[in-house]
Amino acid sequence: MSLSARRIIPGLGLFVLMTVVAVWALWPTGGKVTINDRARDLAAELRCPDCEGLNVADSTTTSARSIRKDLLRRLKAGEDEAEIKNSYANRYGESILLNPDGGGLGILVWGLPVLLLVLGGVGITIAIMSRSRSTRLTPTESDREEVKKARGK
Amino acid sequence: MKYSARWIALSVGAVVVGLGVVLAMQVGNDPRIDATKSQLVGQPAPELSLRALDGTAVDTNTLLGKAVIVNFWNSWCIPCRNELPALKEFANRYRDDPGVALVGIVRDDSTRAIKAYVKAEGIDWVIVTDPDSRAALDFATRGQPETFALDANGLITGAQIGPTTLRDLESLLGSAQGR
Repeated sequence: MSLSARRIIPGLGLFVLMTVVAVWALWPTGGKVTINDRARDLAAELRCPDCEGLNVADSTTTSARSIRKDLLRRLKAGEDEAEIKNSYANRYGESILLNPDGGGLGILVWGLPVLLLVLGGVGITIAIMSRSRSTRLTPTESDREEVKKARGK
Repeated sequence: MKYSARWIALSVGAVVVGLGVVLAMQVGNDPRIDATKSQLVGQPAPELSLRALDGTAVDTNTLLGKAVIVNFWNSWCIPCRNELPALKEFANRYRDDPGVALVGIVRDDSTRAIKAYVKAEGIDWVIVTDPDSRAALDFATRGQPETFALDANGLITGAQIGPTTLRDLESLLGSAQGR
Protein backbone atom coordinates (compact mmCIF):
# COMPACT_ATOMS: atom_id res chain seq x y z
CA MET A 1 0.00 0.00 0.00
CA SER A 2 1.40 3.39 -1.02
CA LEU A 3 2.13 6.10 1.53
CA SER A 4 -0.63 8.45 0.25
CA ALA A 5 -3.20 5.62 0.34
CA ARG A 6 -2.23 4.87 3.94
CA ARG A 7 -2.83 8.49 4.77
CA ILE A 8 -6.15 8.82 2.93
CA ILE A 9 -7.85 5.58 4.02
CA PRO A 10 -8.22 6.38 7.77
CA GLY A 11 -9.59 9.86 6.95
CA LEU A 12 -11.96 8.44 4.38
CA GLY A 13 -13.07 5.75 6.82
CA LEU A 14 -13.74 8.36 9.49
CA PHE A 15 -15.71 10.47 7.01
CA VAL A 16 -17.86 7.49 5.96
CA LEU A 17 -18.45 6.55 9.61
CA MET A 18 -19.49 10.10 10.54
CA THR A 19 -21.81 10.29 7.52
CA VAL A 20 -23.46 6.98 8.43
CA VAL A 21 -23.94 8.08 12.06
CA ALA A 22 -25.36 11.48 10.99
CA VAL A 23 -27.79 9.88 8.51
CA TRP A 24 -28.85 7.30 11.11
CA ALA A 25 -29.41 10.02 13.73
CA LEU A 26 -31.37 12.29 11.41
CA TRP A 27 -33.37 9.59 9.63
CA PRO A 28 -37.08 10.18 10.36
CA THR A 29 -38.47 7.49 12.63
CA GLY A 30 -41.99 6.23 13.15
CA GLY A 31 -44.85 6.20 10.75
CA LYS A 32 -47.21 8.87 9.59
CA VAL A 33 -47.22 12.12 11.58
CA THR A 34 -50.66 12.51 13.15
CA ILE A 35 -52.39 15.74 14.08
CA ASN A 36 -51.76 14.88 17.75
CA ASP A 37 -48.02 14.62 17.02
CA ARG A 38 -48.12 18.02 15.33
CA ALA A 39 -50.02 19.54 18.25
CA ARG A 40 -47.50 18.08 20.71
CA ASP A 41 -44.54 19.39 18.70
CA LEU A 42 -46.16 22.80 18.49
CA ALA A 43 -46.88 22.81 22.24
CA ALA A 44 -43.20 22.10 22.85
CA GLU A 45 -42.34 25.27 20.96
CA LEU A 46 -44.54 27.52 23.10
CA ARG A 47 -43.59 28.84 26.53
CA CYS A 48 -46.08 28.09 29.29
CA PRO A 49 -47.56 31.53 30.04
CA ASP A 50 -48.09 31.04 33.76
CA CYS A 51 -45.11 28.96 34.83
CA GLU A 52 -41.36 29.39 34.77
CA GLY A 53 -39.05 27.41 32.54
CA LEU A 54 -41.59 25.01 31.08
CA ASN A 55 -43.07 24.63 27.65
CA VAL A 56 -46.79 24.14 27.07
CA ALA A 57 -46.30 20.44 26.31
CA ASP A 58 -44.68 19.75 29.69
CA SER A 59 -46.79 22.01 31.90
CA THR A 60 -49.83 20.89 33.85
CA THR A 61 -51.34 24.34 34.49
CA THR A 62 -54.86 25.11 33.33
CA SER A 63 -53.50 27.61 30.80
CA ALA A 64 -51.17 25.03 29.30
CA ARG A 65 -54.00 22.50 29.09
CA SER A 66 -56.21 25.10 27.40
CA ILE A 67 -53.47 25.97 24.94
CA ARG A 68 -52.94 22.29 24.10
CA LYS A 69 -56.67 21.94 23.39
CA ASP A 70 -56.60 25.14 21.34
CA LEU A 71 -53.63 23.93 19.27
CA LEU A 72 -55.38 20.67 18.49
CA ARG A 73 -58.60 22.47 17.58
CA ARG A 74 -56.77 24.89 15.28
CA LEU A 75 -54.76 22.19 13.53
CA LYS A 76 -57.95 20.21 12.98
CA ALA A 77 -59.54 23.36 11.56
CA GLY A 78 -56.74 23.49 8.97
CA GLU A 79 -54.50 26.21 10.35
CA ASP A 80 -50.80 25.56 9.89
CA GLU A 81 -48.08 25.79 12.53
CA ALA A 82 -46.76 29.15 11.37
CA GLU A 83 -50.24 30.75 11.50
CA ILE A 84 -50.87 29.41 14.99
CA LYS A 85 -47.48 30.52 16.32
CA ASN A 86 -48.01 33.93 14.77
CA SER A 87 -51.41 34.24 16.42
CA TYR A 88 -49.92 33.38 19.84
CA ALA A 89 -47.03 35.79 19.32
CA ASN A 90 -49.51 38.55 18.45
CA ARG A 91 -51.48 38.00 21.65
CA TYR A 92 -48.70 37.15 24.10
CA GLY A 93 -45.69 38.75 22.45
CA GLU A 94 -42.62 37.09 20.93
CA SER A 95 -41.56 35.73 24.33
CA ILE A 96 -44.23 33.02 24.06
CA LEU A 97 -42.12 31.41 21.31
CA LEU A 98 -39.32 29.24 22.65
CA ASN A 99 -37.46 29.07 19.33
CA PRO A 100 -36.22 32.40 18.05
CA ASP A 101 -37.44 33.40 14.61
CA GLY A 102 -35.07 33.54 11.66
CA GLY A 103 -35.13 37.33 11.34
CA GLY A 104 -33.31 40.12 13.14
CA LEU A 105 -31.07 38.96 15.96
CA GLY A 106 -32.57 35.48 15.64
CA ILE A 107 -30.62 34.96 12.42
CA LEU A 108 -27.42 34.98 14.50
CA VAL A 109 -28.65 32.11 16.62
CA TRP A 110 -29.43 29.98 13.59
CA GLY A 111 -26.77 31.22 11.17
CA LEU A 112 -23.69 31.51 13.35
CA PRO A 113 -23.20 27.82 14.19
CA VAL A 114 -23.59 26.95 10.51
CA LEU A 115 -21.11 29.65 9.50
CA LEU A 116 -18.57 28.54 12.09
CA LEU A 117 -19.04 24.91 11.04
CA VAL A 118 -18.43 25.81 7.39
CA LEU A 119 -15.38 27.94 8.22
CA GLY A 120 -14.00 25.21 10.46
CA GLY A 121 -14.59 22.58 7.78
CA VAL A 122 -12.86 24.71 5.13
CA GLY A 123 -9.94 25.28 7.50
CA ILE A 124 -9.52 21.59 8.27
CA THR A 125 -9.78 20.64 4.57
CA ILE A 126 -7.15 23.20 3.56
CA ALA A 127 -4.86 22.10 6.38
CA ILE A 128 -5.14 18.41 5.41
CA MET A 129 -4.68 19.14 1.69
CA SER A 130 -1.62 21.31 2.16
CA ARG A 131 -0.13 18.77 4.57
CA SER A 132 -0.47 15.95 2.07
CA ARG A 133 0.95 18.17 -0.68
CA SER A 134 4.02 19.24 1.27
CA THR A 135 7.25 17.55 0.14
CA ARG A 136 8.57 14.91 2.46
CA LEU A 137 12.27 15.10 3.31
CA THR A 138 14.13 11.94 2.47
CA PRO A 139 17.65 11.38 3.84
CA THR A 140 20.50 11.72 1.38
CA GLU A 141 23.53 9.50 1.38
CA SER A 142 25.57 12.08 3.30
CA ASP A 143 22.76 12.33 5.90
CA ARG A 144 22.96 8.58 6.41
CA GLU A 145 26.69 8.84 6.81
CA GLU A 146 26.24 11.54 9.44
CA VAL A 147 23.79 9.37 11.35
CA LYS A 148 26.07 6.37 11.11
CA LYS A 149 28.94 8.46 12.41
CA ALA A 150 26.91 9.77 15.29
CA ARG A 151 25.71 6.29 16.27
CA GLY A 152 29.23 4.94 16.05
CA LYS A 153 30.47 7.41 18.64
CA MET B 1 -1.22 27.38 3.48
CA LYS B 2 0.20 30.02 5.79
CA TYR B 3 -2.03 32.71 4.24
CA SER B 4 -5.18 30.53 4.10
CA ALA B 5 -4.85 29.65 7.77
CA ARG B 6 -4.36 33.30 8.59
CA TRP B 7 -7.46 34.29 6.64
CA ILE B 8 -9.57 31.61 8.27
CA ALA B 9 -8.36 32.59 11.72
CA LEU B 10 -9.09 36.21 10.87
CA SER B 11 -12.62 35.35 9.62
CA VAL B 12 -13.44 33.32 12.72
CA GLY B 13 -12.06 36.15 14.88
CA ALA B 14 -14.18 38.70 13.00
CA VAL B 15 -17.31 36.58 13.46
CA VAL B 16 -16.63 36.20 17.19
CA VAL B 17 -15.95 39.93 17.61
CA GLY B 18 -19.09 40.76 15.60
CA LEU B 19 -21.16 38.45 17.78
CA GLY B 20 -19.68 40.03 20.88
CA VAL B 21 -20.61 43.51 19.65
CA VAL B 22 -24.17 42.48 18.79
CA LEU B 23 -24.65 40.75 22.14
CA ALA B 24 -23.15 43.71 24.00
CA MET B 25 -25.69 45.96 22.27
CA GLN B 26 -28.49 43.71 23.50
CA VAL B 27 -27.48 43.94 27.17
CA GLY B 28 -30.42 45.47 29.02
CA ASN B 29 -32.94 44.34 26.40
CA ASP B 30 -34.92 41.72 28.24
CA PRO B 31 -36.35 39.37 25.63
CA ARG B 32 -39.27 38.67 27.99
CA ILE B 33 -40.12 42.33 28.49
CA ASP B 34 -43.31 41.79 26.48
CA ALA B 35 -44.47 39.46 29.26
CA THR B 36 -44.84 42.44 31.59
CA LYS B 37 -47.52 44.18 29.56
CA SER B 38 -50.52 43.14 27.54
CA GLN B 39 -50.10 43.11 23.77
CA LEU B 40 -53.87 43.49 23.37
CA VAL B 41 -54.23 47.14 24.35
CA GLY B 42 -55.73 48.98 21.39
CA GLN B 43 -57.25 45.82 19.95
CA PRO B 44 -60.86 44.65 20.06
CA ALA B 45 -61.60 42.58 23.14
CA PRO B 46 -61.99 38.85 22.53
CA GLU B 47 -65.53 37.53 22.32
CA LEU B 48 -66.85 36.56 25.72
CA SER B 49 -69.54 34.00 26.27
CA LEU B 50 -69.56 33.07 29.93
CA ARG B 51 -71.96 32.26 32.74
CA ALA B 52 -72.27 34.16 35.99
CA LEU B 53 -72.46 32.27 39.27
CA ASP B 54 -76.26 32.67 39.25
CA GLY B 55 -76.43 31.17 35.75
CA THR B 56 -77.09 34.34 33.75
CA ALA B 57 -75.24 34.72 30.45
CA VAL B 58 -72.53 37.35 30.21
CA ASP B 59 -71.30 37.99 26.70
CA THR B 60 -69.69 40.72 24.66
CA ASN B 61 -73.07 42.07 23.50
CA THR B 62 -74.35 42.60 27.03
CA LEU B 63 -71.23 44.66 27.82
CA LEU B 64 -71.20 46.86 24.71
CA GLY B 65 -72.04 50.50 25.36
CA LYS B 66 -70.39 50.44 28.80
CA ALA B 67 -66.95 51.08 30.15
CA VAL B 68 -66.01 47.66 31.47
CA ILE B 69 -63.38 46.61 33.96
CA VAL B 70 -62.56 42.91 33.56
CA ASN B 71 -60.67 41.39 36.45
CA PHE B 72 -59.17 37.88 36.23
CA TRP B 73 -58.79 36.34 39.65
CA ASN B 74 -58.96 33.24 41.84
CA SER B 75 -60.03 32.81 45.44
CA TRP B 76 -56.75 31.08 46.38
CA CYS B 77 -54.55 33.82 44.94
CA ILE B 78 -53.04 36.06 47.63
CA PRO B 79 -52.45 39.13 45.39
CA CYS B 80 -56.11 38.79 44.29
CA ARG B 81 -57.17 38.85 47.93
CA ASN B 82 -54.91 41.87 48.50
CA GLU B 83 -56.63 43.88 45.76
CA LEU B 84 -60.12 42.96 46.94
CA PRO B 85 -60.59 46.11 49.10
CA ALA B 86 -59.81 48.29 46.06
CA LEU B 87 -62.28 46.35 43.92
CA LYS B 88 -64.95 46.64 46.63
CA GLU B 89 -64.44 50.40 46.86
CA PHE B 90 -64.54 50.72 43.09
CA ALA B 91 -67.73 48.66 42.91
CA ASN B 92 -69.31 50.86 45.60
CA ARG B 93 -68.47 54.02 43.69
CA TYR B 94 -69.97 52.88 40.40
CA ARG B 95 -72.77 50.60 41.60
CA ASP B 96 -75.44 53.00 40.36
CA ASP B 97 -73.67 54.07 37.18
CA PRO B 98 -75.27 52.25 34.22
CA GLY B 99 -72.30 53.20 32.03
CA VAL B 100 -69.78 51.25 34.10
CA ALA B 101 -69.52 47.50 34.63
CA LEU B 102 -67.17 45.44 36.72
CA VAL B 103 -66.80 41.79 35.79
CA GLY B 104 -64.71 39.30 37.69
CA ILE B 105 -63.61 36.30 35.65
CA VAL B 106 -62.51 33.30 37.67
CA ARG B 107 -59.35 32.11 35.98
CA ASP B 108 -58.69 28.75 37.54
CA ASP B 109 -60.73 27.80 40.59
CA SER B 110 -63.60 25.55 41.64
CA THR B 111 -67.12 26.99 41.51
CA ARG B 112 -67.70 25.76 45.05
CA ALA B 113 -64.67 27.62 46.43
CA ILE B 114 -65.61 30.74 44.52
CA LYS B 115 -69.23 30.71 45.70
CA ALA B 116 -68.09 30.35 49.30
CA TYR B 117 -65.55 33.15 48.94
CA VAL B 118 -68.00 35.50 47.20
CA LYS B 119 -70.54 34.92 49.95
CA ALA B 120 -68.00 35.34 52.76
CA GLU B 121 -66.57 38.56 51.29
CA GLY B 122 -69.90 40.04 50.22
CA ILE B 123 -68.77 40.46 46.60
CA ASP B 124 -71.70 41.94 44.74
CA TRP B 125 -70.38 42.54 41.23
CA VAL B 126 -70.75 40.08 38.39
CA ILE B 127 -68.53 37.02 38.81
CA VAL B 128 -68.29 34.60 35.92
CA THR B 129 -66.59 31.25 35.60
CA ASP B 130 -64.28 30.46 32.71
CA PRO B 131 -64.45 26.76 31.80
CA ASP B 132 -61.16 25.57 30.26
CA SER B 133 -59.70 29.06 30.86
CA ARG B 134 -60.99 30.02 27.42
CA ALA B 135 -61.37 33.73 28.21
CA ALA B 136 -58.08 33.78 30.12
CA LEU B 137 -56.41 32.40 27.01
CA ASP B 138 -58.16 34.82 24.66
CA PHE B 139 -57.09 37.74 26.86
CA ALA B 140 -53.57 36.26 26.88
CA THR B 141 -53.33 36.31 30.66
CA ARG B 142 -50.16 34.97 32.24
CA GLY B 143 -51.44 34.69 35.78
CA GLN B 144 -53.70 36.42 38.22
CA PRO B 145 -54.79 39.00 39.02
CA GLU B 146 -54.89 40.75 35.67
CA THR B 147 -57.25 43.60 34.92
CA PHE B 148 -58.40 44.98 31.57
CA ALA B 149 -60.39 48.06 30.62
CA LEU B 150 -62.81 47.89 27.69
CA ASP B 151 -64.44 50.92 26.15
CA ALA B 152 -68.06 51.17 25.00
CA ASN B 153 -67.09 49.81 21.58
CA GLY B 154 -65.44 46.73 23.02
CA LEU B 155 -61.88 47.97 22.49
CA ILE B 156 -59.23 47.15 25.09
CA THR B 157 -57.95 50.51 26.31
CA GLY B 158 -55.79 49.47 29.22
CA ALA B 159 -54.45 46.51 31.12
CA GLN B 160 -52.65 45.83 34.34
CA ILE B 161 -50.74 42.71 35.21
CA GLY B 162 -50.69 42.16 38.96
CA PRO B 163 -52.82 43.57 41.76
CA THR B 164 -54.54 46.91 41.30
CA THR B 165 -55.18 49.79 43.66
CA LEU B 166 -58.24 52.03 43.58
CA ARG B 167 -56.12 54.58 41.73
CA ASP B 168 -55.17 51.99 39.09
CA LEU B 169 -58.82 51.04 38.66
CA GLU B 170 -59.80 54.70 38.23
CA SER B 171 -57.02 55.12 35.70
CA LEU B 172 -58.18 52.05 33.79
CA LEU B 173 -61.76 53.33 33.86
CA GLY B 174 -60.51 56.70 32.62
CA SER B 175 -58.86 55.00 29.63
CA ALA B 176 -62.12 53.15 28.88
CA GLN B 177 -64.12 56.38 29.09
CA GLY B 178 -61.63 58.29 26.96
CA ARG B 179 -60.72 60.63 29.83
